[in-house]
Amino acid sequence: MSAPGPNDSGQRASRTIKLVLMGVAGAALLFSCTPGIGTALGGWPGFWFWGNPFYRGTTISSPSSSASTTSGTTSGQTTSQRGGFGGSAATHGSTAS
Amino acid sequence: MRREAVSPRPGWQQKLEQLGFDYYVLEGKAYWTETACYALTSAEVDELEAATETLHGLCLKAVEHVVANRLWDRMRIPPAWGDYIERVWRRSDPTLVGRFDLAYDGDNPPKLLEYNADTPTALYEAAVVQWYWLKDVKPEADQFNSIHEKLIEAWRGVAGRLPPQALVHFARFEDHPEDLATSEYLRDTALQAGLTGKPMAVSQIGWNGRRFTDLQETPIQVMSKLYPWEWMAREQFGPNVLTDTTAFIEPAWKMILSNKMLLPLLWEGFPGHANLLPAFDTEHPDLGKAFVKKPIFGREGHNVTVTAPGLFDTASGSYGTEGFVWQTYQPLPVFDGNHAVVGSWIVADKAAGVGMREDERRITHNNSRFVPHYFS
Repeated sequence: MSAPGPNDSGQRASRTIKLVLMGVAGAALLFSCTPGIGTALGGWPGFWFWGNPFYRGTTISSPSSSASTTSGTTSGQTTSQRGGFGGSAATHGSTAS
Repeated sequence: MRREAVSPRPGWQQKLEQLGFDYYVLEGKAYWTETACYALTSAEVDELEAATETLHGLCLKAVEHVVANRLWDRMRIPPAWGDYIERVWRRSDPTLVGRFDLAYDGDNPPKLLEYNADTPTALYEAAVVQWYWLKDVKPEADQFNSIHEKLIEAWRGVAGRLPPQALVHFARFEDHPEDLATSEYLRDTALQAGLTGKPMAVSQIGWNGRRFTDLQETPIQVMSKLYPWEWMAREQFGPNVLTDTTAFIEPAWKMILSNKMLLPLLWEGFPGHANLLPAFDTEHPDLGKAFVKKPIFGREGHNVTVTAPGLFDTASGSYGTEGFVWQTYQPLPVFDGNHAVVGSWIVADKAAGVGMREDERRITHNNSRFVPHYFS
């Protein structure tokens, strides 16, 4: 395989300017737009109808609940328990690999 | 392949910081260096590209082998997770990204050292930071790097399986700079693909009895998590994953590939393959006299031991409870006293580029220096 030419759209080598939002201005944009997202969607009852978009088939009940969890279940908002993930990091440190 | 000394760009620190890459020093040592770069030939890039896609194909066959034969005990995966992993594998829950660590000297076929399939970092450096270095320092040259474009394309593929209003949550540890940058960069590429992304800390993930939720009690429909599956499986909320009410990226079938037991499985399935090293789940005679002992669930080089005639090197850590695998020792090529490892990225199903890391030690780790590359 030869290297792609200068006008090649590039399958293995970048040919485009990377429109990165990670820079100073971009990071401010990213963070500034986030707080409203969840509030807006969480306040929309229809959102509760959405389950796992890849899910097909029968619901499996949670060990801690016998309630249905499929899409189509209506629900009021409850207060969630938190802190159930993250404990292993105290033992092992960074998740990096 | 060779290592070239080059002059750092004037004001290189500011250039990095302008990209949001402010962790070029980690734990008091240089993590990014541009006093040198690696030069590859086009033929070497061809070889790395082909090997990466070949290894990806072998890994997918290994997943099918584990699922079909229900090798959960051997993989140290809790049996209750087997049905869930099989389900997400059979319905092809999408994968976004992974990184193969390869020993490659430019003369011999690349050899798989390990596959960082679940929570690979050094992504932003490979995809973006070294690209801007290339444009400044070697504008006439090329770089094996279309990671950014392929990530956006991969997210578009994910978006095609989501409802139009879908929101992706990005969970990570925000006090680990490389974790934060990797997750934010993934979110960046998701936004560029037209998705909506919301950041959160792993510890903020909630469970309301039916669904995972964020701090605003919004159900988490899709979660891009930079948190190892083997940790999640053993923590309090782990069993809730099995309700399958949230889609995860990377999917749970990656638990098979981020597991060092993959290495013996691959060697059993494809013995003698040019891109594999002999590997076993015992201290096997075929290892020879030089071998590496790796914890089944290990990260960052911790608890890895290299044993060879006249050589013993080990890295401390807190891994190994689940056991170890043994792999024939393949020395990394040494350039100017630096052991160099190739991190070769696979995005969706395509080889997407490489990031070079180097270290004075034989056992590389997550703080090993990132060095930009080019090819011509």
